[in-house]
Amino acid sequence: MEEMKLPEWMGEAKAVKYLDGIDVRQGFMEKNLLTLARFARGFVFQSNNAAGRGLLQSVDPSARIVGIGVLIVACVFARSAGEIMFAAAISLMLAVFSRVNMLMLLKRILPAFLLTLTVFSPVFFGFFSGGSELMGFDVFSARVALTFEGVRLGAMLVSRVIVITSFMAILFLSTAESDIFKGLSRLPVPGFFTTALFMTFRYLFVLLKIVEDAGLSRKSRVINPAKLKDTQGWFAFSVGFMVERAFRFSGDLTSAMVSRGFTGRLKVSKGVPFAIADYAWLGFSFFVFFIMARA
Amino acid sequence: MHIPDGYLGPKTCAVFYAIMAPLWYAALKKTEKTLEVSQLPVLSLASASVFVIMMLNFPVPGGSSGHIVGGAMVAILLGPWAGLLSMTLVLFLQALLFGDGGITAFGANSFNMAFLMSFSGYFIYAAVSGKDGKRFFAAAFIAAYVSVCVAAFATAVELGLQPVLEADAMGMPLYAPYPLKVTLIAMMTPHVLFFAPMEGLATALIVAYILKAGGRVHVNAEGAALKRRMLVFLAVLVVMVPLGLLASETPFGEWGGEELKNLIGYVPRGFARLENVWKALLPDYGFSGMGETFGYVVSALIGSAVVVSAIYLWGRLWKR
Repeated sequence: MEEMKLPEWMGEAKAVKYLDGIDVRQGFMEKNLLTLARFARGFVFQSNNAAGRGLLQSVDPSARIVGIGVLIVACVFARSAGEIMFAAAISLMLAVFSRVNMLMLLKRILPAFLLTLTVFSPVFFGFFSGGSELMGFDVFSARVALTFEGVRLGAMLVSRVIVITSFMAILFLSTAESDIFKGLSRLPVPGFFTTALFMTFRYLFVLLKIVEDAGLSRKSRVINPAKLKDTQGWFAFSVGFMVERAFRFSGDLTSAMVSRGFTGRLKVSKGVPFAIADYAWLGFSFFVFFIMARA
Repeated sequence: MHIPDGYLGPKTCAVFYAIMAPLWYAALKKTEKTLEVSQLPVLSLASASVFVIMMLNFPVPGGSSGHIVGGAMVAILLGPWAGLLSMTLVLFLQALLFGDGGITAFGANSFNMAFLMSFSGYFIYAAVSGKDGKRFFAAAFIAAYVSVCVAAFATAVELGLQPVLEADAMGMPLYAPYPLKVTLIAMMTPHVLFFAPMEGLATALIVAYILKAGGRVHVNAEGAALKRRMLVFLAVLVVMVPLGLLASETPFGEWGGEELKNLIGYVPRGFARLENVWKALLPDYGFSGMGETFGYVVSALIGSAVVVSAIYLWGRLWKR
């Protein structure tokens, strides 16, 4: 039987010209839902080098998580620009040797960079540190100027956040989601917590799909964008509906688990013992930590 | 409200992990008792719901929008302890997958959004909704409104204390640089005027929908009197915690001999002996006869070797 092919225009998301040529814009809720759902899936399931060969990929996931965690804590202890640059160099080397896609790494770091730069922007102007003026301008009768001390302090604060974010991003880009949960289950974290975490992650996308479908069904029945009160009411409906479905799901899930012998006690696999490479990686991470935390 | 990594100093992060550890343990135990065998699916799906709710933008007048936190909502539906656990799961996933909130600041974020929001939201709902639960809409609105303000206040205090707690020798801040008066205004103004009313309205609408659809909430009306007393306790706790952070002296338990003498009037003999042994081994992370930098490096090497050996031994025991 010949495969049925849909016309191309049906796959286009923005086939929104109405009969009289007026744009039928996506309503506020639908637009947000679709954007956020796409963002969430893209962010979590983007292709990375988790399965590839690289430095971090050769280390056990639980050792990888611990090592990156230790490096992050080490960055929090850093008290000088030199120490933060040292951590940045380590992060860059890890990214290179783990063959992490640099563009994806930048994409993950950029939001944190922009947020922190915005939040800490007054620091660069020496509002809290004073100091010698580098360059400035007058706004009415007030002088606004970048100061040497302000720039130094601001750069240190921002770069610390960026380096920490980059370590987290490298961990995620070099580790498959399933390995992250597997790695966590081998650490001294309660089994209940890691299992619940894994289930939350799995059902998150199921519930997101429910809300997305609710949005789509509404969109197919409503042409004009709704008024504020209606969209607020619809928000409450879709969330309430999702919560209700979630609780119903949980009942079904419990029955399914109990029918397979679940008694409420979790058994977590202990995995394989660490290899020499895992110990070497942990040793390196703790070495960096002790160097940075000496103050 | 999610505090990223690098905004809080190590002392503050450690304090909040220490505060949250017993609360997480208690929450696990309490939830085990109340939800029994269904605890895992219920909590997981409730957490997934809160995660999705946090991603949805609630429309507000003026064409703007914002996302709700959902701490009060999940506590009203599941109870405060399950709410705490549920929010903890959400915050951990957000930090791990989306970089929303830091790993080192996870204790502080959990304290603000999982503990304070769940407990204040739950008890306020219990107190306001009345025995018959007829005032559920107003109760949910007030509970969510106040819980967001409480969490925002705690966040502002934590950030605002950083310049006092963590500064370099020149007095320059090492982490969040703004003083308390700035962080309080910056956090409280938008939350009191914008985000808290939005959280209140969205929570009230959701609770109303769930109740009208035949669902039920966790609050037991008969225990309202007890819950009011706990609310007072919680308010006292909220006031006390930031005050504890103001202490800029030597951290608890890290006193030297001199400080201990000033505190209790004498230095216990065993303490003096142990203190000297430790100093003789690694005085100020260094070795006599070595340069300062080289001494640090050797100390770090020894430290990391000790930790790796401990992990190796733990791995062997764990395997058995």
